[in-house]
Amino acid sequence: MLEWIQVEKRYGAKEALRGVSLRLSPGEIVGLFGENGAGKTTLLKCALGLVRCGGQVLLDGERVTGRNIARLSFATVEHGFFLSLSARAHAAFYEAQFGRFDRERFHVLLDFFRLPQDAPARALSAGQKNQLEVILALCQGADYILMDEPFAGNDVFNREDFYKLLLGLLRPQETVLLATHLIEEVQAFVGRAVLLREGRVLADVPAEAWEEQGLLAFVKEAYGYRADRVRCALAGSLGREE
Amino acid sequence: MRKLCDLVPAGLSARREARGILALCAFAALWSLTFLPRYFTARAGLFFRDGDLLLLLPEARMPPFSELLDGALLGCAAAALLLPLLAAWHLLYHYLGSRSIDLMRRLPRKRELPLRCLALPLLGELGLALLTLLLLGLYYALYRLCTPAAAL
Repeated sequence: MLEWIQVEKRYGAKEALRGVSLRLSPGEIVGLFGENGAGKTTLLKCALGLVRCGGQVLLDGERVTGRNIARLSFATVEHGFFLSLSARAHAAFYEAQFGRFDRERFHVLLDFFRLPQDAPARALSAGQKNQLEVILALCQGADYILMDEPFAGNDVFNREDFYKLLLGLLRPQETVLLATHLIEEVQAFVGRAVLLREGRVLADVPAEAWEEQGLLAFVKEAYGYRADRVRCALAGSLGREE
Repeated sequence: MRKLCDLVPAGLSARREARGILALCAFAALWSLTFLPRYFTARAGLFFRDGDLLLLLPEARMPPFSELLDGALLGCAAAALLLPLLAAWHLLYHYLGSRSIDLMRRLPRKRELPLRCLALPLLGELGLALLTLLLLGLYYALYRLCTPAAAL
């Protein structure tokens, strides 16, 4: 189990996380949603030790250290790979560093996306770079796969097929935490939704909670989204012009 | 035993960098040769010619070794100052175009990032230190052995 316990993070005057507590059980696929600046990326980076934060992040009751960090993988839209290394060379690097790299899955995913094995990552298109990032995270051999907007820049067909493929590929104990804005696309894929707002958990609900209305409508409701805000803004603007 | 390619950030050419460091060492060694004309000019000044004979001038004194050495080892110093820049480049490399720094920082072996950033620059510094000692020893031996004892 991966747990965030009262995790806090401050960037200068801005509080990015305000006592966030969250638990991921083995085998879950969880969507992490929230507007820009809600704290999604920071939450993921706290688990990986990439940003210093208050509170605790525990993996099966132990702090995340060099001894157990290989059980966490990370795919980020910022990309963690090396631009001058090919996919094949990345596989060798991951194999040497993480030990449990899944070569079979790697080749399945590489074939699926038709990614070149020997081209340096810098030669890939923006979408292909995202794919490589996700492939590496999925093949690292981690139990908890943390993804931060991994599909930004990929076309809709690729994304849809990828979700299906992922559901087929994941082993029962593998857990995915997926931070994304593509709420409608992932609603059939995730079994639980965590909503962040201004560094706090606004809602943490299972799929049953949005079964009727759909995840997007649920998220809008939870956020108190006003559908007429554009009309009001335009009316205000026109009013001033008059 | 780590391979040479595991001593630099992934994706950089360890061979190319090692060749660069060797070139720096060669430059430093060549620069140090400026000691030789200084030494031999000073040595020639110890003698006067009497027909076919070269005779030591009475009261002739060879300048101190440190004075003759002057800037002969400046090449080594310059090379030593360049190597920290290589380490800085290694770190910067992980921020260029992607965030491979995040991957390096979440590796199980925490020393992997410092090792890959510092190994070659430190080996280079060590090599330069040895080269400096070797050159210093050689030139001092030349100074002691080729200078007439009476002029030392």
